[in-house]
Amino acid sequence: MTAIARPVAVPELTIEPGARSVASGVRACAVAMSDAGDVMRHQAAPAGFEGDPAEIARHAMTSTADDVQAAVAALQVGVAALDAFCDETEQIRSDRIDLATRHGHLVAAADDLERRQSAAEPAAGLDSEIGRHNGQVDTFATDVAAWEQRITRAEDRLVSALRSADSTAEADRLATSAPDVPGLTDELDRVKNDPAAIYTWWKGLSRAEREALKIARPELIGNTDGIPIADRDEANRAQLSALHNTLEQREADDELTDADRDLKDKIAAIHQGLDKAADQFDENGDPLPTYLMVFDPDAANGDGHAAIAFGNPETADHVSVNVPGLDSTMDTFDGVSGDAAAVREAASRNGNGSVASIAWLGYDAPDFDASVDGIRDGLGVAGEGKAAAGAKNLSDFVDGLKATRQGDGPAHYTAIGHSYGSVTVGTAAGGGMRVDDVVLVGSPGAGGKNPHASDLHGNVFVGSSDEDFVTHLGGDDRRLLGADPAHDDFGGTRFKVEPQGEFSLDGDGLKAGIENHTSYFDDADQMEREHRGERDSDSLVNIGKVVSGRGDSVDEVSPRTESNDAWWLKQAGQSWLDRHTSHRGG
Amino acid sequence: MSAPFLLTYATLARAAAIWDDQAEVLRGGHKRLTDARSATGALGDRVAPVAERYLDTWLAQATTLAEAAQGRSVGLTSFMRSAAYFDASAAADIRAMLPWSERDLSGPMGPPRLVVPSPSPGPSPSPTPGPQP
Repeated sequence: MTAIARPVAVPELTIEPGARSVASGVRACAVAMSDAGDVMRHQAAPAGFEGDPAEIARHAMTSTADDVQAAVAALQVGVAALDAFCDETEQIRSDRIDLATRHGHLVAAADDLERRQSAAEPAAGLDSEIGRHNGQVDTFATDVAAWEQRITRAEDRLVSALRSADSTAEADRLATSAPDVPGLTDELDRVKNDPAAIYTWWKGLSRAEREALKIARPELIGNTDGIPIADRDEANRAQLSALHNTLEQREADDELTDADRDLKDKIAAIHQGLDKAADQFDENGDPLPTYLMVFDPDAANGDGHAAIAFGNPETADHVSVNVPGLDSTMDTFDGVSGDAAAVREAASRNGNGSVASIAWLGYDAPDFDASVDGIRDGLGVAGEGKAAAGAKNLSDFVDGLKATRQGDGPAHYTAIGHSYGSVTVGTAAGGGMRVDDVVLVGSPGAGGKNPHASDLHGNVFVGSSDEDFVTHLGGDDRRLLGADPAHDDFGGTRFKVEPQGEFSLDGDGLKAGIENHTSYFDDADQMEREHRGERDSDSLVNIGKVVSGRGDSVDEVSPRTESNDAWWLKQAGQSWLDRHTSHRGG
Repeated sequence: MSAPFLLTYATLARAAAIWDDQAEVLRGGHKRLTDARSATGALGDRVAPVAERYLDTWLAQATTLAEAAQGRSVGLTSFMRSAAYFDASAAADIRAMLPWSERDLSGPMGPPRLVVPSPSPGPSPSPTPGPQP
């Protein structure tokens, strides 16, 4: 009787996914130390200074700069090795799942063969079947052994790297051979504004060079279009973490300045934004990944630039970019992030492929009083200048997404502009930005150079509540911010939105107007809070359809035919009538 | 003996602030490294002890650098509140803690002004330079 072989067990993997948090912590520390080192170097004896060596040696800022630089070099070695280890073990973990599956099949096959072998009259040819099975078991044992060796080799490489950098003497040596960050920065400068060239350049760097840049220049690497999203995220999170911890130290010392408090608010909003999709899962049922794609708290005259991706835009089938409007600053970015997360979830429900949705504040949005006069007058003063500058940034950002694309074929891209953000999106889509679909909601105009939807690249969808006064600011004569995209003459596809209340120039009607302007992304949770049932707003459902590539199924409504001048006259007349009636009545 | 040099309170205050800020930044970095140290178990049985030794080295160095920076800030701040006269040795200590470009101030300066070496006998308190790295 031929013996039936049993497969070897697949060993447990003792390396856990949390290993990456070790790399993140070391990177954040390295960023902080690098920052301190830069300040010290700026105050140190100049390079090449020919003076009294004893005086230089005694100069504390010079010696501190050297000590910090050495520590950073050692930390860079550690981060690069830890990161490589995590990448390798991710693949090893995935391969273990395959091995475990094969193990299960081989055990089942062995059970079956044993049962058949123990039958009163075993079938002819069973021995040769057992022979094939035993061969598969041998191959399996070889593959398990190779898998274990990969773990050992990965561990050996990490151990070797960490041991090479675990003393100050070794750090001094490493500092002399650390990557040339200024030289690499110059190289990046030569290809700036060309995301495709930047991506090619980045992929040509060694892991050590990439880590050195992320540590020494996180604000540059984290915010450069064309750098892969995972690297941008690591650089920005390290910068965020380093700043956050420094502020905590300052707060503990009771030394927070007003500027520190502003920065603290911004960082809190980013943290809240990153948590907005904490309860969402990707198409494989894994927790949804989020990426901090832009983090520049000093940009836009201190209002800040930020972007968070919910889902991976490098691999998703559908990618949307949410561009917010009036009063958008980094310290309110959690709200913008919530809108983008809601869009992703609404689009995912259509089951038409994976979706990544990005909240993007990469421009200086105008800031006005939340009143009819405040917004109308403010928009008149702001004009299209900020939208034009934002459109350039948005186009570059979308180009960066395309340059780092990893998925099968190009993604389906949608740009969504809300309020003044719709002017930015309209201006970008009327210029160099190439997206498949454009969604303009709560729009005061599509940009002065775009009198018709055909002037924009991509199919144009419009969500405009008749009770949202901002959407009545667009005019046929292109004054203010261009044509009203909800008007019949513009030629876009207008979809249904759900008004929250009737607008009027006075009292509660004004409040309703503001609510109508800010409710285009209301999701089921928000609707539930408003006691309107557990369903997304009509607006969000329709936006989700467009983002998921099903724009042809939006709930379409008739475009406007009346001029907005007539609408405002009607509002003014009604207001006068209300006041007059009230006066007479009183 | 070092050449005489003129020193303003503004220079001292700026240097103290630089050291204080960097101490905070370094302590912030130390905090993140501490977080990383607490997660080394995820690296597996073979790597974790090596990673801990590596991190312990840089935690200690971050502590040393942060304490030295804080000590220098405190030393300079204390000095500003203490003597009007100090000796050549103390002057050298002070010079060593200032930004390189501000060790030899000689331009127009507001009062009070400190001049070394000390022109007359009297108390010459040495500033506390803080622990050296």
